[in-house]
Amino acid sequence: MMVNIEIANSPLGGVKHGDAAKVFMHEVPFTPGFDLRVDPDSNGFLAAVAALGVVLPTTVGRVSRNNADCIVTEDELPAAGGVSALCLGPDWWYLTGTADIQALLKPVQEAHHISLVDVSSQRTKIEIYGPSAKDVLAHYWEQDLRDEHFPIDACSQGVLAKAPLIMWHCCENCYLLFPRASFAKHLWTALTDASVEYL
Amino acid sequence: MSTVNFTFDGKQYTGEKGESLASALLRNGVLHFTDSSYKDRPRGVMGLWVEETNALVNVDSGAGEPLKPATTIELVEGLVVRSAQGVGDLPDTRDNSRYDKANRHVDVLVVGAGTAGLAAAKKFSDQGKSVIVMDDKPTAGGHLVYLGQPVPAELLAVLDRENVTYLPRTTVQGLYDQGYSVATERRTDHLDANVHTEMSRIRTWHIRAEHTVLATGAFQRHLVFANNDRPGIMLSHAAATYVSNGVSLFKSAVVVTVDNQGYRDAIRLHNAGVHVAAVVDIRKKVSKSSKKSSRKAIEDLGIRLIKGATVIDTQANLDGLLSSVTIVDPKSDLRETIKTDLLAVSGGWTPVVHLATFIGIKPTWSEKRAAFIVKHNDSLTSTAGMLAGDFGDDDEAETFFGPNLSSEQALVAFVDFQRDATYRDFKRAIDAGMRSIEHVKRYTAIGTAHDQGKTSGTVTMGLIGQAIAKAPDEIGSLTFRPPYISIPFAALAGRDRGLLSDPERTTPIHAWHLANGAPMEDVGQWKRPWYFPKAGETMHAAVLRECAAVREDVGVMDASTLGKIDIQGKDAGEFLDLIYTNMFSTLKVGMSRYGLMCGIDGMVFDDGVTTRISENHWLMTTTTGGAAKVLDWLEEWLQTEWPHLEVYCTSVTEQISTVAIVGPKSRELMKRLAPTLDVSNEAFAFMENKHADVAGVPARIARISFSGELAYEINVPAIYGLHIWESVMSQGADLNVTPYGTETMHVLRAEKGFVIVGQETDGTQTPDDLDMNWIVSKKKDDFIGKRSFSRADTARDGRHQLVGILSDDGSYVIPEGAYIVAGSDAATPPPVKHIGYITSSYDSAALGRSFALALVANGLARKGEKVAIPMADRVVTGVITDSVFVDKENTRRDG
Repeated sequence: MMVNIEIANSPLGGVKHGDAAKVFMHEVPFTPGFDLRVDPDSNGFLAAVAALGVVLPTTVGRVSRNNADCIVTEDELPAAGGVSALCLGPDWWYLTGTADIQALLKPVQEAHHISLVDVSSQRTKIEIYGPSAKDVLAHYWEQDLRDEHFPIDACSQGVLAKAPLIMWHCCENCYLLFPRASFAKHLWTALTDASVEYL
Repeated sequence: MSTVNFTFDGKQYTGEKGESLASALLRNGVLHFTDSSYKDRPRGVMGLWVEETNALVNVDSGAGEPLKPATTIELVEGLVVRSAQGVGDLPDTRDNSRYDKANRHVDVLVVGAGTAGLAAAKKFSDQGKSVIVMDDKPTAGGHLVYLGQPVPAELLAVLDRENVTYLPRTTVQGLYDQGYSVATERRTDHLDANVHTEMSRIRTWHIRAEHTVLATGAFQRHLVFANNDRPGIMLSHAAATYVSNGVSLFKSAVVVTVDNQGYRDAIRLHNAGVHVAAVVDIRKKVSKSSKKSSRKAIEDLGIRLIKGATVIDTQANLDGLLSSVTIVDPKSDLRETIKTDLLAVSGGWTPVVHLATFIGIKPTWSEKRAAFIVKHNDSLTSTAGMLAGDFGDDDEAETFFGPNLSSEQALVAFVDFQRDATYRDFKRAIDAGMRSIEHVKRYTAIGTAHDQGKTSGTVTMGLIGQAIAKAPDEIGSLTFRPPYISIPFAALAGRDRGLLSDPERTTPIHAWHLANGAPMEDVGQWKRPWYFPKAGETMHAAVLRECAAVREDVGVMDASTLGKIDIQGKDAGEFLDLIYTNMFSTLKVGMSRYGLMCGIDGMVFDDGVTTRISENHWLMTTTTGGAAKVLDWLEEWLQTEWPHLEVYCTSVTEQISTVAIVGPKSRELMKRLAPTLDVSNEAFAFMENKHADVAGVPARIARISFSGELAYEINVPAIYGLHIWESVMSQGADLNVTPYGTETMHVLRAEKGFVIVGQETDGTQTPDDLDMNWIVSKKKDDFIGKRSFSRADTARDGRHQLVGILSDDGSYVIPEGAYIVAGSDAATPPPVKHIGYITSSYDSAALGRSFALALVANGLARKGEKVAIPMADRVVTGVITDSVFVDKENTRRDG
């Protein structure tokens, strides 16, 4: 569904904070997102992969994609038609990207036992990048962010400043956070607060 | 170095920036720091670092901190401290310093930047490991810094390496399983006051290391003899260090020792210009090498050496400062008093075993070192340096903790200085039959002060051993628990204060609620508008107005916080039949049904309305507080008991924003909002769902009512929630559309007798208890809780059941939680047996009086009975009624 930005409101209103030379963070409003549930050993899974044009990773915590997804500079927009698949559980993927994911999977839904749920409004997306991004996140994030342990295109669910979210290491020193909408303001307060010593 | 001004007990002094407060005061001639906690005995500095037992101060400048050892405070301009006589006090003002936390994963954590720690850091760094070195002192080098000796440059250079992080002033406070440590870094106290104010004062580090090297070093310990606490008596390493750093208080010194450290310190004292009157060594004989090195060096300097002797008592001048010491040879008649103003005590080294014992590694007693040491090396943890028993070349200590004392001497021979615990206290514990350090500690309070027995622990173990002729390690093991030194609570809290202490969850319409003056009610972590007062309106008046508007015109409520779970799959109907007590599989597409779910104990667990969106697609709603636990519950059953069911559940609580328009005029308002929708009762019946554009947004509209009134719930993607709300407000202005909050919602539902799970229930109510027998299917083979309904207890006499209560005085609102007694007990003095309690209680605009819901024993059979509710100042009388007060016949829900 196209977002009617005249009447839509994102949880954070597209806020920005920081300095890209150190750490910069901003909300990327109205990012599409879908929860896909399908048995990885089923024909539905194969059909979904074929329809999406992206391999659904079967290792929890991995991302596969044919999409740029992060906006490292504000001018470079991601290419159209991309899909990114974050494996959140043995039969659970979070899909995002510029493609019409609902349309791609509609025929699969009709033929197989899969569940595709639009959660575009449920989460917002915060992008945090810069040389100090890791340090800012590490004030709250208990998981190992060292590149050898959380490399590019690793993702994880966890709690940051007590707000549950999905974190995706999308490119060098750049992390995408997908918090629940109701937690977004709290998370933003915590992140901007944690950034004070780096700016 | 620069000179700074500081204040101690109201008097101005100068010192060198960065030196310890203890050193600066000694250099200023302050020897008598404070008096002891309980016995008011004069006390001075004993030690060098956190082992200090006497010289505690309360810091008034900066953030302020109670009970800090003066040995650990770095001088800064403007430092203001007061001596603390064992009792700390916090400033009254709020501490506005910043405190934070940080996580760090690393290959190797090295605790201690002495030579052993630095060598370990070098070894692991050379292997290409990432290393973090944490040391609690301001400078790296350990004892070498105190000795004024250069730290080998190749070791210091390790700290600058790319793969090494060095954090000075950082105390590892706790070591836990699997390489997890917690440390506190003091970041600003040593800086000038005009420091970057956004820098956190203390950072609490959470470190996960694949390997932890403990190179924590050692403290010296004291000996237990009479009057061993006078100002002028110090640990020898401390005395020699202070004197070498320019403390010129002392003209002469006596050194008493059990090891060669006393010799080394005697030489340092001598070299600093102090006349060393004697070195008193408990050891008659020493090894050849010690003879050649330590003893020869002393004799070469012309210092008198008294072998096989020790100090037994000391004397003081009129100011309470040390003036002389009495030495004895326990095995001969030697008894001599030597005039001196400094007694340097070398009672042996006590390695810092704390971190090792935190993870269950037991220290072992080294007879050679007269110390508990930890030699340990496994994949997770290893030890190095003095902790591992590496004391240097010629250290051979005698296991000796003090001479035999007369009962008078025992009264003034201190084991734990801060607790004023004496050898006599200790002896009473032994004489009472205690042998374990844990018992002795609790009997005497030894080791319970701020220092938690850093020096007195080993002394006590040794004394027990001496008293019952056993080696210290036969007494038991030395164990400690975190934290290693005291931590301000603010540092533990970090940023988790105020707004950041707990998330506030808000709906997409939250900003509107705030802008329109709604006070918020906390529902779990959610902020929900409580009521919407007009200017000058009380809560009571606002709620009555909101209730009346809903019953007469139309109200609007933000129901976005309701838990929502998307359920898909061909077996979803069967699954819901198992989850809920009532039937769902027969529900027609497009219809909604209220459902109650129970736990396996048959007690009500959650409730909500579930809608069949299409043949294999359902949407469940849960209570606001129950969303997460219900999803967990569904997944648990699907994954563990019914994996054969083709069902997937997905949380959509925050995907959907729900705006409920409620009241007789809601049909008109709905028509305006969705002109294409036929809102007539015939086309859009109660519990039916329709899809239509509402104010330009594709929406699912449900005719669900939580008030008994005609109502429509408009469900849209959450990003449009605010838009829908504002459209409702603007299109319904002439219909008196009235926003209402949780309080009005509660009143309206209670008037209809609708329960709130968690308010009318406490986990011990069956559906029957709630007078909801109709919702328990008699047709289904099974559902969760069914088996429990055949238990005798769920049908027993006396169960608490949901009823209404009307007080005789309709203007009185009975407090929720009030206990109910039988009407016949209204005048009975306490104790009176209660028969139930009030669960919900409100004033009602519709009834024109107050009313309440209650759980009453056998309540359903007692309708009409008189009850009494004893309050503090009065006894309220009333009657048990049905739990439905408004529109029992459901005539209002269709408008």
